[in-house]
Amino acid sequence: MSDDLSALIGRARGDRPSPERLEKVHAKLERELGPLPPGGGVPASMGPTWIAGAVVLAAVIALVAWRVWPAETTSEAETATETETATATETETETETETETETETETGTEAETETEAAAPTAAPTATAAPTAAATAAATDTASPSPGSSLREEVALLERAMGARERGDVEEARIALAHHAARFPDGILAPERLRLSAELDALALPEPVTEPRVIP
Amino acid sequence: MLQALAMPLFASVPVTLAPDHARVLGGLYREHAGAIFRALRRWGVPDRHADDALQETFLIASRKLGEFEGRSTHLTWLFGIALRVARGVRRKRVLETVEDWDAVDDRSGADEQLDTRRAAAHLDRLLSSLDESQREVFVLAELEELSAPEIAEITGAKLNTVYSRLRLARQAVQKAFADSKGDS
Repeated sequence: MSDDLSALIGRARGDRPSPERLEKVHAKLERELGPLPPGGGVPASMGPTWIAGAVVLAAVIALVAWRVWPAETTSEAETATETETATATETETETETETETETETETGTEAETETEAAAPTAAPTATAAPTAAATAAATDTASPSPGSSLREEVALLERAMGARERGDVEEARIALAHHAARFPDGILAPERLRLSAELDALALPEPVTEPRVIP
Repeated sequence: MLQALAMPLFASVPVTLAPDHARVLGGLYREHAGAIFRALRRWGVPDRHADDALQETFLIASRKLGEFEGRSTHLTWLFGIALRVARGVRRKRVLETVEDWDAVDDRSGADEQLDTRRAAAHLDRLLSSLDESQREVFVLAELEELSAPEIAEITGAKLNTVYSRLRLARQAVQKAFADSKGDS
């Protein structure tokens, strides 16, 4: 194609709707679907560095939570004080409580659903999730600590990231499935989805290197 | 005719999203809504229907998010949905005329915006010389800069067919462009 035509196409590429217009459609979608938080992110623009940063940050939070809330703490008064000082982990506590009350079957179902949504190819590996989740739930019942579940979340994602770095996609998917089963709405659920999408991208064929110009 | 145009183009079905899906969809919208909107417009969806088409694309995506298999990128997947939405609009014979685009130019503000909109309008006039399948391929290849295999996946056409359509589309657009310069 001529340079003039290429330039025209280049300029036309800048024709995008205004932010206000996009926001208007977004509001309509939220009326149909409920809240669509923008924090979900898309893996294409957020690479491993971002995920690693998030995991490190979560690890720091977990460490602080562990120091502030020792596992031995059981009194209700102390728990109430802790809840006031850090609302971030309040959600974590609720999530943990919900998971503990779930039956093993329910946990397994959630694991499969999550795996289908984020990484369908990992469906067979999700069957291992209920056992791990049940074991973890039983352990947490003995010593409910807000920091422990976050630490567990971090550990699972780090396991997945480590496996991905080694090229062991299967192992990474198993770790993600465990996380999905154990913490379906965990603090690091968005990171799990990003990592899952990254694994999906790894399964894609290599980019086409052939020339784009047709003879 | 007017009654048909006044009817809602897109029927929506209420959907309850899982929290994770809502987060993913919100992220997809934030990242890709602009590109999807642009492609819908270049595929011939009228400006007055573009918002609804964009909304419909993401509503369909919300219903199919659980079926996303990761064989393609999210953007490619969304383009595939949007393409079918655009085809649906075309089937309803509500394609916008070139004159409608000229009116859009007057609403522009800054010079740069004006230039962009005029370029888009000019490109739309050139694209109107293509048949639908060539237009779809040309927009994905030249405007959205997708690879031929990605376009094949989005359009459902074979790879060789994509190459063939793209070659013919480029020839036709180049000719239309030369003609338009000769006219002006």
